[in-house]
Amino acid sequence: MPTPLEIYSNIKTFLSFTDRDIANLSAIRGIVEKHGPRVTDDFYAVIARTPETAKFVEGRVEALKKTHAKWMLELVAGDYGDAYFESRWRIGKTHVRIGIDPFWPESVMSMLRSGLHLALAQEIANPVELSEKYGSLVKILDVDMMIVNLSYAEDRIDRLTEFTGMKRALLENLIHMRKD
Amino acid sequence: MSRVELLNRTLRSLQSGTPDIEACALISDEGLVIASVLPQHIQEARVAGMAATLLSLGTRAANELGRGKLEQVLIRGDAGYAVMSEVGQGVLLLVLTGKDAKLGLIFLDTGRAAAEIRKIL
Ligand code: HEM
Repeated sequence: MPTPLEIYSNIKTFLSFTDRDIANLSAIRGIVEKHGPRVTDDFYAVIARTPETAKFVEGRVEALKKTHAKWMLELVAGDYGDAYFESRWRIGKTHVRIGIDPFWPESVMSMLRSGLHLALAQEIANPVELSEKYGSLVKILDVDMMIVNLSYAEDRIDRLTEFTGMKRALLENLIHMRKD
Repeated sequence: MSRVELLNRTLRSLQSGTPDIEACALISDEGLVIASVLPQHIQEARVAGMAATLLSLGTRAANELGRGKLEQVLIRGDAGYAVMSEVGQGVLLLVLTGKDAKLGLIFLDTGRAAAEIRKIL
């Protein structure tokens, strides 16, 4: 089994995440700075009015918005090496630890994709350029989501290992065993 | 003779020396077969996964329920027994018997085989 960091690297290769994407992302930093707070406000409004998610953020929405703004700026900061992976992996673990089901971050990611698409569309008139820039943004958003999902998957195995005493390799073997 | 051959020989003599033993296998705690004397119809990979799972759970349960260090896991069905025990670091011995097997004899013979297996490992 490749390590999560190796998977991250493989995914970037698979998606052809290249210098061109890095340049595209760096180029839209100003737009993300300008529109990011609105996108963040929008998704926190939804989290706060949904009982299943509101309980996690009660009394700390303003502080969390700040962490979120920092996360969003890292998306367009131009550095996607090991430290980037580590920060995303830690964010995944944070959500796992406090017991947020994985479909909530997935749903928020859907809002982020559309919210940020709208932001780019408001600033970039040329449709080809918009598509090109959004293509790079959606790549990195999806990569972020994959890292979060990997840490959720790893956490599930960890919990089973801890409870049953079964080795990680045994669980992996069972998961990959053919059904017939 | 290679270690696998020696292990296979030990398993074969355990099975042929104890008529009640229908099959036996050495399995790693990762659920992989190390050596086996199993009938054709048994799917090795599945049996190995199951035995390793049961032994892990048994070890946890014995500890959790205050029964101390696990010695064996015993399954009794209306067609016979499955007996699992750790015979070395991360290695378990699985033995399948018919329903009329004399368990005392089975334990004695598997204990002897286990000692031999430990020497080979
Ligand atoms: C794509 C979706 C999301 C992103 C990018 C995101 C981003 C972040 C980041 C960057 C942090 C700081 C973590 C750290 O530095 O360790 C954080 C913490 C937090 N997030 Fe999210 N988040 C997302 C979805 C959600 C959802 C859906 C909820 C609520 C249901 C939520 C609730 C929280 C809470 C409560 C914390 C604080 C955890 C703690 O340290 O106690 N997040 N999030």
